[in-house]
Formats: sequence, C-alpha cells, structure tokens
Amino acid sequence: MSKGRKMADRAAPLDVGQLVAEHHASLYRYAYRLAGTAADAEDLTQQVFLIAQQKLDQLRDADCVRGWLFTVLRNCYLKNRRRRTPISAATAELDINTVAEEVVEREIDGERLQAAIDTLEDEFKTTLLLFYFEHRSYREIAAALGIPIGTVMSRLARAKARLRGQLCDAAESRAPHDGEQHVKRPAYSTLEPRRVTRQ
Amino acid sequence: MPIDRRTLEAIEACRPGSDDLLSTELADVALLVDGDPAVHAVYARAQRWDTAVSRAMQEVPVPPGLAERLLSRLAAGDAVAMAVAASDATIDEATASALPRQLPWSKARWSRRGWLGMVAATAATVAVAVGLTQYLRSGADAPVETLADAWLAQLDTSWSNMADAPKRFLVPASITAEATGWQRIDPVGSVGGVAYRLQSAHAGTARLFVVRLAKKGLPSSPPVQPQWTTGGRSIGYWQSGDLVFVLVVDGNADRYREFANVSRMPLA
Repeated sequence: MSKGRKMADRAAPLDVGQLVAEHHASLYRYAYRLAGTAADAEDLTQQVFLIAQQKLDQLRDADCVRGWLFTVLRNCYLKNRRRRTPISAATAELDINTVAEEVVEREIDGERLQAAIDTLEDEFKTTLLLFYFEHRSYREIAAALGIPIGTVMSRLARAKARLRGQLCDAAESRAPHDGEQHVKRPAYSTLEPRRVTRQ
Repeated sequence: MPIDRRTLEAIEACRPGSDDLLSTELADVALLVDGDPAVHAVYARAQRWDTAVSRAMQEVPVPPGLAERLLSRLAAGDAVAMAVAASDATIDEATASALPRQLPWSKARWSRRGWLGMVAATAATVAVAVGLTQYLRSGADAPVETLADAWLAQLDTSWSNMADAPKRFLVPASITAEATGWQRIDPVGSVGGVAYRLQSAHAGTARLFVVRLAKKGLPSSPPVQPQWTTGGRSIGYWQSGDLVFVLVVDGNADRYREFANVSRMPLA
C-alpha cells in the first residue's frame, strides 16, 4: 500500500503551489521560533519555497517533503545568521526541579517562550526545535545534525534548563508581592540540591 | 539520593508520550524510572513540561494572506533571486536520503561536447550581463522598474538594525508600514542608496529603495496606482529633491496601497 502510494507520487510531480498551501503555516511558525521576528520568519519561509521551486524535481518521495522543507529552512537560517552574542546555554544549571508546577499548569506564554528561545545559541536552538517542533527523537536529531547522541542529550538538557529558568523567572515576576500568594516552587529536597547562582 | 547527570539528560531526551525510554541505550534509565519513585516523579514532571512547551511552540499566529503573498512571489519569477536562493541551498545527509540515488550533476561524466556547451553558455551569460550592466549604468535612461529588478537581485537576508540606518536616505513619511531593517545597495544607475524592508500588519513585507537618482517627471508622492504591475508585483515610485523612492510590493495595487499613504493627485 505504502509502496503503491510512493509509486503514484513519483508519477505525479510535486507542485510548489500545493506545497505552499499545505506547509506554509507550519514553516512560518518554525521560522518564527528560529528567527524571532515576523519579518524574518516571512523572509525565511519565502526563501524555502524559492529553493523548493528550484529543487523540487530532485525530491521523489512525497512523504519526505515536510522534513525536507524543515531541513532547508534550518539550513537557510544558519547560513543567513549573523553572529550575535546570546547568553550561553552552557552555563545553565541542570536541575529539572526548577520547573515551577504552576508554569506548566498554566498556559506557557508564547512571547516569553520566544524571548527565552532568542537567548539561546544557534546550536542549542536548532536542537531544541528539532525536539519540540519537529518531534524528532534524540537519534534522529543526532543524524540530522551529524553529532553524537550524547551531545544531543547534553544540548537538550542545557537548553531546557535555560528555558525553565527564564519562564520561571517570568512567572515569579508576574506574581503578586503580598507575601502570601506567589508562584509555587517545588521542593528541591529529593534530587539535586538547588544551587543559587544569582547574586 | 541525587540523580546523576546522565540520567537527567536521558530523561530530558525522551519526547513526551513517546516510547523513547524503551530504547536499548536507555535500558538502565528505564529501570530507574520504574523502580525509584523519585526518579519517576522527575520523569513525569519532565514529560508534563515537554507537553506544555510543545504545545506552546506551535502557537504562533500566521499573518493573514501569507500563502497568497508567497504564491505571488513565486509567480513573479524573479529568476535572479531564485538562482541565488537555490545556490544557497545546502542539502545535508538527511535531505539526501529523500533524493533519488543519482543526482543530475553526478549522473554522467562530462563529455567534450558538454564542456564546449558549458563554455559557450558561460560566455553568452557574461556578454548579456556586461551589456545589461552597461545599460543600467546609464541610470537616468533606464526604466525605474528595471533598476528595481537589479536592486532586488542584490538583496540578501542580512538586514541591519534600523537604529543604524543612514540619515541621508531616510524612509519618507508617506510610508505607513514599519521599516524593520535596511541594507546598502551597490550603485546601479545611481550614485548610491539604501533598501528597506517594510512590514505591514495586514500585507506582510515589501521593499523600499531610497536612491539618489537623476530622474525627471516623477510624481512627488506615492501614486495611488503603482506605475508597474505585472507578474504579481507592483512597483510605485516618486521623488523628492534628488532622492527617488521605489516601493516594490509582491501583490496587486490594493496590497501596494497598504504600505504607503498614496496620493490622489494625478501622476506627473
């Protein structure tokens, strides 16, 4: 069945108009999370479809289109990226208990999430988006980025720690200062002792 | 008892709702998750967190009309931009697996006829490019839309911060969309200028060129009807002093008017 479908796909060439209709929204969202602004995201999305228009005849397996488009987008982003000096995720404290439960229970704020993503270096950002946005396994991420599985795990853990830190700080700053109601932090006693890094 | 770093990293690497924990290299971590309530609690917490973040990741509003604009730009057939974009494409190994085994450029050895053909094609391309450049150098005689095509071809995606935009080539007050970046363009038919990226809440992005150019008879404000509408692209231009403003919008005249406070006066 699957084989039959693929053969049928090969017979009917892919149409870029159809690709735009089916994938422009998800590509734009991915581009926005990578680039951080609407204008850059739209430019990136356009760049991907221009490339797709030129190279589409090389793609024979319709099932791979989505992943291929995401890969092109990620490569375009990295190629276009000018050097910035975001906060290094390598210094992030690896402590899963920094997740404030209420942050999870409540809706995570999209803008604060983006602000946290923007602080990550590209290598952490791309790994994180492969995990969260493309839902790739750590093995697939390792294959896509050409890095060892251990490196993927390390990057994921550190990037997530950075996100947590930023989102929890944001949640705390929104809490009322009446001394009674505040964002609930979990107890830190069971696992790694929480180290206070801020001064 | 604290959880070791490797276990924490392995837990973080498991996608929410997946069977990643069942993979052979995580067998020891799976045992800990099953057997140690504290580790299980951390795993459950990580899964909840990842589910929430995955959901939030997708919550990006898509600007209205994006698909139409993309299709319009593709239909505009900017051959130079497409060639540049295509040459920038990097197909990694993951992508290559989706491609046919024999790519066109690896299919056959080059024959002598092939080489001769390539040399002839290159020579013809160079001749056309030199001729076009010479033509465009004359500037004042070249149609503005032709110059605009040449400027568009120069643009890349490295937009500079607006705080650093050159004062000599400011965005005119008649532009209603927000300028979100700029880049200098090489002089082609003018003594220099700047390209701006414009962002409209309803109409997406457009380009504005502000160039010093000797032109006569242009309107003094953005015309209500762009002077050039073809191939899905609208181009309107006007001048003030020795500056010429060229607004390039992928789309029809209605979309063009989203970017500028257009003049109802007749064209000059």
